[in-house]
Amino acid sequence: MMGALRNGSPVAPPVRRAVDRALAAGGEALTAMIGRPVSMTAPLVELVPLGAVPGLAGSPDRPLVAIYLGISGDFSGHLVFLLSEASAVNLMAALLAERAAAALTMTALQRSALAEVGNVSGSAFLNALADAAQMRIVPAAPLIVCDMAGAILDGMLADIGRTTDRALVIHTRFNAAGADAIAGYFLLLPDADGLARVCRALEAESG
Amino acid sequence: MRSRIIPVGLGELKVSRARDDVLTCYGLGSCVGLALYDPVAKIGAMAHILLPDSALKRESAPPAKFADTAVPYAVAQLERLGASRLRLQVKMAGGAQMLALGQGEARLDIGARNVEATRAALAALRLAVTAAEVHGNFGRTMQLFISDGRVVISTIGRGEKTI
Repeated sequence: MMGALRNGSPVAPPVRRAVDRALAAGGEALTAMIGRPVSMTAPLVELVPLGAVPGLAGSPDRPLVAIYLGISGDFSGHLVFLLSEASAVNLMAALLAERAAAALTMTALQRSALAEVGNVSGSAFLNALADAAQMRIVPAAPLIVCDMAGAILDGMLADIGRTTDRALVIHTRFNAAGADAIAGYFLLLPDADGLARVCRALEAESG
Repeated sequence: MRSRIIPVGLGELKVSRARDDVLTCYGLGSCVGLALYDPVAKIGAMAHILLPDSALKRESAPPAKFADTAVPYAVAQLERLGASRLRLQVKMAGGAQMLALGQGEARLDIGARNVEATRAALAALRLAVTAAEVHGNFGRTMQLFISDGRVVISTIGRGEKTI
């Protein structure tokens, strides 16, 4: 694992099951996109205080690659997939047969390919989660940012920090045949009580 | 001399008069790092400002989280340790816009608003900005050396600068 549990608390079992199903849906969408089996699994799903989010993957000045999707619908906010540089390079190699020397020197084409991976998996993930919670969640076009972890995230934390205090953090592994280790984090950062509403809805749906 | 790195987390303020301390804001994006330093008393403070305005505050939020409250709070803490407001060197960094978003999501340009609010709060206390490395679309790490008041700004792929 890249990061340790930092004051995080595990989610309730129904939320965990919904996240697992949503990740499975993301994996299926990726499999359809690239024509080879890919799956995503979550060793850990937790609710993390916003102040601890920049340090999730190590020091907040650590270079990371982020695939960002703005969210609107029944709540607004942010979905971010965060990867180490090594994982980003491995992901591109495994899924796209693209060999980037380093994540920070990606070509425009490689960036857009990576954005598409995030778009396909992130949208499928959100759709599955929205269905389970019976809510409307609409992702915007994906953006790629490569910079320090803290810098990538602090604007989003400022945006939602006025109305909320925790983020849903999904420690995620990509599994693809022959791929080197690919691990990262899906962060779901809804504003207001979006996260609580999603969690409540998922718990209610499971009966 | 061995330096001792003191991280200044989101919404925190750290004050020091230990010569080997280096107050550090890691990975500033839209946040503003504010460094105040009295070169005679050799006392410094650093705030890691997240938002422009404490009117947006929920109960029990720390004062350094907001530009308008961080500035007077930092000055008061420095003066309590014997610094003089009249001698303060004022340096700021950050306030970037990391995500190039289309219309309708302009609220994410919180960086520019943080810079503006920090400048306004400084002006209200008649403090002039000595040096600033702000705006742009990239992250910065900011370090204040208590030994001599220099501030080093480092980036990924855009070099390092001492202000």
